[in-house]
Amino acid sequence: MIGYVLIVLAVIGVAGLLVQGGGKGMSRGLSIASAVLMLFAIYADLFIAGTDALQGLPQRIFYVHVPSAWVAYLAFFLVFIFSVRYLIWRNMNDDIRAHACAEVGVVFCTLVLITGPIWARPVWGVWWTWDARLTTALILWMIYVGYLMLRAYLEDPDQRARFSAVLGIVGFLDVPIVHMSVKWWRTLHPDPVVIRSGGMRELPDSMHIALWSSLLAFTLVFVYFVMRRVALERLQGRLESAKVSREG
Amino acid sequence: MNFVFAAYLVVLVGIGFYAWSLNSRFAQVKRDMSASGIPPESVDRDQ
Repeated sequence: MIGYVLIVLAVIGVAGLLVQGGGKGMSRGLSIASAVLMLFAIYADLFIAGTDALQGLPQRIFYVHVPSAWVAYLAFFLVFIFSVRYLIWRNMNDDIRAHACAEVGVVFCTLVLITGPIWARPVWGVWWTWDARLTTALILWMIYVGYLMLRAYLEDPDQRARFSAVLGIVGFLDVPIVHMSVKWWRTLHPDPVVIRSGGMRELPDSMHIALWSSLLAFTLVFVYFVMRRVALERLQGRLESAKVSREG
Repeated sequence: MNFVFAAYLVVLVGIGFYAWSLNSRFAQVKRDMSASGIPPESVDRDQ
């Protein structure tokens, strides 16, 4: 019972923080939509979805673990796209967008790496094992933490944008390796269960409702975070230029 | 059930912490901008 109370309080707190930082216009609408959808998704995950016959209750971690992984993949794919665009056109807006996606991607990748072991312990009997999926996912997290560290250490904006674009492109090569690792190597981690080859649906409707509402909620939260992070970076840039012009 | 609660709390606290971090960084930049004499309405335009 106390667990449910804590989760309800936490999800209300998260919704409040999302709405509080909403800004104006599209960002405001997105913050409200993501807060409402997050409330519904957590409700669907815990109360609408049926309990798995094999794994029991721990299977419900699936509804936060998989959407976090999806958002991390999406974020690092966008880092790749914006990095390529930056190297072609040298537009600093692409560098700012790549940075925002990388930072938010690291947040969600961290959640994947924490929720995975919490799920593994009751199901596999161990918190962690050095199998292909887990190891490549950890490497992916390290690559993008390295990306953020690189940006923090380089002071020259052009050099920082160029170096981090190269790392953003090379680092993305690990994403397909993470995804395909369960097929290429023998691992404890299960194969995809939502849609198998041939488009066969493997989950009952109640689990689909929970999963897709969580996927949509997490994606909206990601888009909202990236928009806010880009706006913040631009404001910081404007503040710096105002200071420089005043000193000059 | 404890594992489920732990996983959901980790996710919600993680997302909430990042949202709080963004909000407070925005508030700090707004304070710095008003201290530098940049009008607050130009801050809001960027959101």
